[in-house]
Amino acid sequence: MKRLLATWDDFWLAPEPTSTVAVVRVAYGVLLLAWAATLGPDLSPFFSTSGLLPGGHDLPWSWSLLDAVGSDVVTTVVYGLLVAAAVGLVLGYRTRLAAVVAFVAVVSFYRRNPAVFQSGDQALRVFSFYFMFAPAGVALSLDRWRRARDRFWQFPERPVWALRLIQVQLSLIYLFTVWGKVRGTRWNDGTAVSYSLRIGELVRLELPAWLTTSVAVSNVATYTALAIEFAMAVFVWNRRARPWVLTAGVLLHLFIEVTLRVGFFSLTMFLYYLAWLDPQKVRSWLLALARRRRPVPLEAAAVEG
Amino acid sequence: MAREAETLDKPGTAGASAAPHSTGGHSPQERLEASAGGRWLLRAFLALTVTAVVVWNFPGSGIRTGVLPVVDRYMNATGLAQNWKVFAPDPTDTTSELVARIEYADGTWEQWRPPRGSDLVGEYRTYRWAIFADRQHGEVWRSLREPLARWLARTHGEGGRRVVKVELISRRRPTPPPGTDGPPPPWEQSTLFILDLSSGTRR
Repeated sequence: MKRLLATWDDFWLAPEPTSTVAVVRVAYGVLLLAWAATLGPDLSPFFSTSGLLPGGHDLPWSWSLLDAVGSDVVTTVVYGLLVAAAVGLVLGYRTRLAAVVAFVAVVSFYRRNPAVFQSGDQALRVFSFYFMFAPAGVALSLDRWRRARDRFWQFPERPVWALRLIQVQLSLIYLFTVWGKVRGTRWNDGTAVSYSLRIGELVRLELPAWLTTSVAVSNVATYTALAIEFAMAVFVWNRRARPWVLTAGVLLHLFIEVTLRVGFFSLTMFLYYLAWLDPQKVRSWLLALARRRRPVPLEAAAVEG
Repeated sequence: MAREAETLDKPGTAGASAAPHSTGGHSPQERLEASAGGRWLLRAFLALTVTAVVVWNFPGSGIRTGVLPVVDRYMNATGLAQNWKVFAPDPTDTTSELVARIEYADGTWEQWRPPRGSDLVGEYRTYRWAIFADRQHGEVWRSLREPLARWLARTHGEGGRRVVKVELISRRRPTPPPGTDGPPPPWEQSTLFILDLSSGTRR
């Protein structure tokens, strides 16, 4: 039992440099800013009381600030808070507060009108919950600058169980998507990719018909996609296989991003991928980057690593 | 546990930066992570969360049905409710379009389609319109039709012209299986919803 507990704690609670979590935070903030910017023009039709869905969605224990108050002013205020939180995350300014506000705002918008959101938005909403618990302002942030300017380029070690949750979540996303697909027909007979690339309203880059209607090409693409998704669910946990699996995953999502109109789906998946970056390597990259701009005293960079 | 205590507390290591004199003191979360009781709380939270996510996603199992009311509430409250059936169990074999025909009191009419932005940038805004339009075709989201029709009537009647009727039309075209030649099949059209403001009926 003791051993089991030690393994559990080692997985979830072992401290590691906060370099990866800092990079994830900046990427999350940038993505959230883009998400908010694209939401802005449609606030009225999507979320106002005179919009496409005058009332909220009723699920047990689900909540939304937009429903709770039911006023269009609140929609504008929550939107402003979302933008402020995204900027706060990019800069690492009052980071914990920014992460909490981001979560509340994303969930509030999503729950107010789930009919206008899809898997990418869902992945962002789930991410926003986990990230509230990340020690995201500890390094590479204005918070750090304000509190320990002389040691700005240090990356103190902290338990990063929030990143572990994000990693587990990513693995489960692929596990359950593969589970769902193998129970269908077209993923089994190898025609799924051909159909997917010809859904008119989703096509972003129209590939030549000889390619999208080829049975052989579709078979290869379908089974490759399934294999990559399965690898992302299982083999990503193997340290040696990880770089290859992540690279394959990135290529898969780049292909989806270029060919299909899937909103923020692929970009949010990339955000999850960042959680897998080795903190030691990320720390080295960041220090190398910093030294290119300005020499960082070795002792200032190394002590806390 | 020991590893963290050493790291957090030993001067000159990670803990040094978290000391009160350098970064403003331990945060409540750090104090929680460092205390024995807090660790148990944390273990329980992590176990609960991962279990809830797995149970929630497990398709139609007995366990899922049994504990769903509890898990349901936890997942909704935390915003973790999720569904990863992207193109599963099968990608659709139909291309769909939503069109609205808006009739005015003066006998004229116009057509409305959901906004569709450019492939490069505009798509990141209008994918939300696309998913909203796509959901109109299915029965699960049929309750969205009347609010859409009413919104169209309202927004198109703002210029002083009176809207008397809004008809939501579904246009669908089957995707032929790969390996088949020939011209694309014709579009099939059906009415999803009619909002008749002159007689006050809807169907």
